Amino acid sequence: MATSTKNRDALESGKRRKAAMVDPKLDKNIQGQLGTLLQRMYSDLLHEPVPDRFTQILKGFRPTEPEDRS
Amino acid sequence: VSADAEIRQSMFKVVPHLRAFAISLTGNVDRADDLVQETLVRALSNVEKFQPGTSLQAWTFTILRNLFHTEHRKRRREVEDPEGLLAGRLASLPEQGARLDFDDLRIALTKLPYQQREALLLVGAEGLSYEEAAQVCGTHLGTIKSRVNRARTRLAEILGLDANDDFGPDRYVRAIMQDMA
Repeated sequence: MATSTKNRDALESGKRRKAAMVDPKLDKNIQGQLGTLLQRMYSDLLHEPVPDRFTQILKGFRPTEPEDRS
Repeated sequence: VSADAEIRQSMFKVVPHLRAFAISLTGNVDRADDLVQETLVRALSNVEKFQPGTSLQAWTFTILRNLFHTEHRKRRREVEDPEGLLAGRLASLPEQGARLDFDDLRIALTKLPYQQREALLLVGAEGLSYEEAAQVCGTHLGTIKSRVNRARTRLAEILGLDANDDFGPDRYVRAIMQDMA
């Protein structure tokens, strides 16, 4: 009986561990901090000047890359 | 104004987003710019496939993401080393105190499996909905949610963030705020 309970507890514990591995829950405070970090980094990148070659492509000039066979 | 000209005009607004996504995804500005260039060329040469009324951003992000995956498969072996070397710098970060800058975050991102990385960037940085991110990645909603969740957890581990540490998360934000001042 005791063994059976022990086995069941071990099984439940294993299931909980597996569930945590599949869908780990992150502390809300850390989630907020990560969100702030990511958005600030991304905002920084969004304000980088756009290289001229992209402007040229969008204006209809073809890039001079080797793969351009035209 | 022709539809083609309109789309080109709209693409000017999308380019900074494509570039931010590509840099965050690859951790390498040169690779990112090559990806963006190829994305623009592909998009313009397939412009008739774009469905008016749908999101141009989602369409171009899908092209870029697919190009990245193709390239990643080709370069997997050579990509692993530089990423490993860069990420190695992070090992001593928590002991160095408040010195997390955006480069460190970008390096930490390269440590994530790329499918988790793209999901987190699309949702957590670019601000796409889970549905839009699932569409861009060609997968299911539940898969995207799971990838974002795992990415956040892994990133917190890499960066050494700890909710119980009074000097944990806040110090990074303070460092960034000081940097921005």
